[in-house]
Amino acid sequence: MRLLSAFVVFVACLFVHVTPAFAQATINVANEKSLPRLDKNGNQIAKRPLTLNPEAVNYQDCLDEQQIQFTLIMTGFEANAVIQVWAANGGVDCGQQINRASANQLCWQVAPNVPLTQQVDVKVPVRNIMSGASPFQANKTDNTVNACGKVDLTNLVVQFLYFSPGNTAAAASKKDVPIVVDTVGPNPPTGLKALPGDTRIQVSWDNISGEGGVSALTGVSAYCDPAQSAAPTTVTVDGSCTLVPNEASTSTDAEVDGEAGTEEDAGFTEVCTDGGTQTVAGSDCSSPNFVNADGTPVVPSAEFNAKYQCGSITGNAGTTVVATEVGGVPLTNGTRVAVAVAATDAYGNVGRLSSPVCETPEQTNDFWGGYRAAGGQAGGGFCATSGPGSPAGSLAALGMVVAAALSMLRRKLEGRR
Amino acid sequence: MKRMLMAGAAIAGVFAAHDASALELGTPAREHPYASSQNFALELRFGPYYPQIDEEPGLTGTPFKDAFGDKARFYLGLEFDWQVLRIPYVGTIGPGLSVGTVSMSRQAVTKSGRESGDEYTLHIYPMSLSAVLRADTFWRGAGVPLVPYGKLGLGYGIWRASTTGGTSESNGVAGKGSSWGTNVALGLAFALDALDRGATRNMDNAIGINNTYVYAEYYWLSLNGLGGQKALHVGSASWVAGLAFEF
Repeated sequence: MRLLSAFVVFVACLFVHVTPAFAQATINVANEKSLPRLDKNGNQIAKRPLTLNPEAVNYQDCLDEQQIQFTLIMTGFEANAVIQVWAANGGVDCGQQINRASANQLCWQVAPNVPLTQQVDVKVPVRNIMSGASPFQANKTDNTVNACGKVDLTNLVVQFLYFSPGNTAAAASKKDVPIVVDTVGPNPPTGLKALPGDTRIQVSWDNISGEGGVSALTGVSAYCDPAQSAAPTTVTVDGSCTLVPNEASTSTDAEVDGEAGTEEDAGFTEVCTDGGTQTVAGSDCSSPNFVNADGTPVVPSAEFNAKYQCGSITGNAGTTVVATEVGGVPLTNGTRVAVAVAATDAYGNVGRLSSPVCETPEQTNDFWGGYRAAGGQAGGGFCATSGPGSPAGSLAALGMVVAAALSMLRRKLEGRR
Repeated sequence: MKRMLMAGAAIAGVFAAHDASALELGTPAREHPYASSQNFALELRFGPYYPQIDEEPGLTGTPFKDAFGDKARFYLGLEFDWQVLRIPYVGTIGPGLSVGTVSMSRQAVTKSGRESGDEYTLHIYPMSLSAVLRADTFWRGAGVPLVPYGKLGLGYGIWRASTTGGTSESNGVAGKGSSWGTNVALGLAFALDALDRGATRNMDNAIGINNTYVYAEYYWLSLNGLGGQKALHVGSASWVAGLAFEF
């Protein structure tokens, strides 16, 4: 009996002292639905508006090397336990060793081991989180700027794994935090067309497609590059000769080369014009600033927007943008401009630029210009009505007379009642 | 202008000196058959509008027609009348204020004749403050559902010429302003109440509308600056139709 009692006590002690972490260690993340964002230096920054999925990671977040701060609150942990931070696609359990350390591993580590304290802030770079997502692999991660613009809409999970002391094979406890990553914007619009306006250019398009279709779009921006559009070219025009009737040849305005026009047949004279140079508008349209070194279209960043954005619309219903200024400088009439557009998705990603079209702003006609040119005298603003010739004074006097008469009549009628 | 002032003074004199014992303030309620008191009228107004801009003296050519063509523009307006007095055996008379809107746009072309993305637009907001006389004695006295009426007063129009970039400007003169003028109108209203008197009484009981009319009116809104002002002639001589309610 004593032996049995001793065995029971031994087993109980073994259970209490050997496996308490497995039974009790917990990891929670404070304010999980709205995690703080930090810049690359660790300073907290403002997030995107709620309409642009601020909790997700987009292209600009990746470029900016943002970090996500997870505040872990841990209980029941043991000394010498290990807490690791991994990431994987949704549905993959990084707690299993085969997913972390094998030729076919599906998880990738995103941060150093977490210190064992009751509350700790873990800062995880967004590039680390997406570094193993498609098109990259868990065992061939890329957390450089190269990753930005490569990972399309993907549901990832950051997993905080608790390993009991001496047991790093299987996590004794874990906490999953889902993170959506999308660094690829929509396709550029098709059917781009530009029309000139007075110090502006109207850009329109036919259709935009992309992930989720048009409903996933939140806007379209136009980009202008006045300096780099294809310039007009100077071409050499050869001289030419034509036969004209003798009567007509005396009245033509064409410059006649007397030496060349020596042959006369049956009442016709050969008239030749001199060759020379002629300025011809460039027929192609391109901008070296709108393509990368490898020839692929630029994907606009915040820096690119500040430099080249010249108009935008929000929502997904519009098909027209009016470009008015670029980099704070208004477009000017007579300056040829290359214009391209890019769409923005629900995560704030701007897609790659369309092929540019070129147009030159030019003064336009309007009713008012025609009216004034025809001798019209009106205009100048609403206050102009109080100028010379305005009947305002006389009208005011008339109004007072009528009001006084009505008032007298009303008094009479009320008196009668 | 002097003539206008004299006419105004004459009208005021008539009102002030007339033996007012026959006049009534508004139209009082009656019990058999029941009718609530009637003091106001509201008109919903629709019709074609032909701005008279090209009639401005001194203009060479027809800049309005050249810019917008000569088709009619759609006018939409409201008029609110205060039927201050009832003249026995004649009808009601009182001031009426009308406001409306007319606008027109065209696609611009560049100076070199190329298609442009710009538009140019002219917005006009015609208004008038008139004395309105509605001779409803035929309808109220004889049961003939026709009410001829006339309006005489001042007209006023606010206007703005603009392009895609905002208010137009030519040699530093902004394309916006206002124009004074006169308003004269003659119309004929048909009382719909004649079609269903029961429904009319119910509507009067429920919401206080005494009469409902369809009407047609011809008006001369001459916004020419009253002879002195350099005004854009944005008035029109045209007809208008719509629904009217007295309450």
